[in-house]
Amino acid sequence: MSDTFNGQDDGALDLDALAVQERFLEEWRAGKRPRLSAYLRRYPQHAAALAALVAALPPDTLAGTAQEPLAESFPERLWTGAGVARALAEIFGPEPAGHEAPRVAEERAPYQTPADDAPRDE
Amino acid sequence: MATEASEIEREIERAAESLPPPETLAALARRRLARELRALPSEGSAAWRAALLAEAPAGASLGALAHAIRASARAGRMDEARELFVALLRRTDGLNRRWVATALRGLPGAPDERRERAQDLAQELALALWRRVGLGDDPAWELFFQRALDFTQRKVATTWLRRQGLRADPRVERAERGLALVFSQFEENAPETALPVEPEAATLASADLADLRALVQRLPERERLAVVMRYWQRAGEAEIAAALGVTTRATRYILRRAYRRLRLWYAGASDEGASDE
Repeated sequence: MSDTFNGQDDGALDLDALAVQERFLEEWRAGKRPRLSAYLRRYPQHAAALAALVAALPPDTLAGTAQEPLAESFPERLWTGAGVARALAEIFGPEPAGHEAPRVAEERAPYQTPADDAPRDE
Repeated sequence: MATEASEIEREIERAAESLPPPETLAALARRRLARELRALPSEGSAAWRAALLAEAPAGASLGALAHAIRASARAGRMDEARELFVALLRRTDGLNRRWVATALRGLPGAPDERRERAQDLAQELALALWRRVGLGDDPAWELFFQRALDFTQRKVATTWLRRQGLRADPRVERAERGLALVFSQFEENAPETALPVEPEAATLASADLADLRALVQRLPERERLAVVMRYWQRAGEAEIAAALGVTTRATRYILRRAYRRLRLWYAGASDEGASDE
């Protein structure tokens, strides 16, 4: 899995690969149907990263028939759960007294379609 | 046929020429972030925090938030870093839940056990994010936050599953579900256009899609590229051939080999014989 990664586990990500992926996604989100073939021609050094990205998107073979349902979503919020609380305690120590979680809206997932917007558990 | 192939070749070439070099794309992202950071109130002020914590979409980008978390941690303003980091976790919760659902898909376990595993994964991811966003200095997190998050989620899930003694792709061993629909579109002699898909069958295909994604990643690179172009983008043999720099005959061979390998993996077998013709 070296598609966008340079070096060891906490090493730097490959900025160029991420930039190329992002460009592809921008076109895809804009409904331009970018072709992997053209991207491979232009950026052969990022073939693995591009293939991984395209494979993560809904396939065109399902287009016009039925929308790919959102991958089974995990219904519980994670950021208020025990796992994140344990991580925060490990990083920052015990939660400060009277601390209140900030109110910030979740950002739409990059591959989310308008139909997927309905269930929000703010 | 040759005319069609050369026309496709020209189309690919034209599209490729319109794409800027990667360093230009990264420079554009840098400029965009710099503009956003310049527009923020002075760092560390109450107005700065308020701007970073504002509701999306008016609020800061995830990249700017990552930048601020790093700045706060470096300056030793840990309460502020914590507040911003929690905001980041909250804003990415939707992405993280989807990732957890995908990572745990196919794993056995009662609901309670699955919930506990999900919390474990969430903990691992939060710690990994802190190492990268709060402590690290990789600009990828500021310039392409969601792509960096996507990559790190995959790394965290793979490492976590391995540590638990679980396979990163348990579906490989769980081939009881038929994949008739998916493979019907891979048939060697299928026409260039995809077969019609009934809505009911499309649901089956989408349920199996996660399995297919996991397995496709294991294919050798050329086979992986060919399958992704063919199945995900309905590319014809001429387009795949042009992209890979091979003949259409070689393309057919590459696809056949890939399908055979995938079939064997779905059946729980090793890929011995996948390269036999």
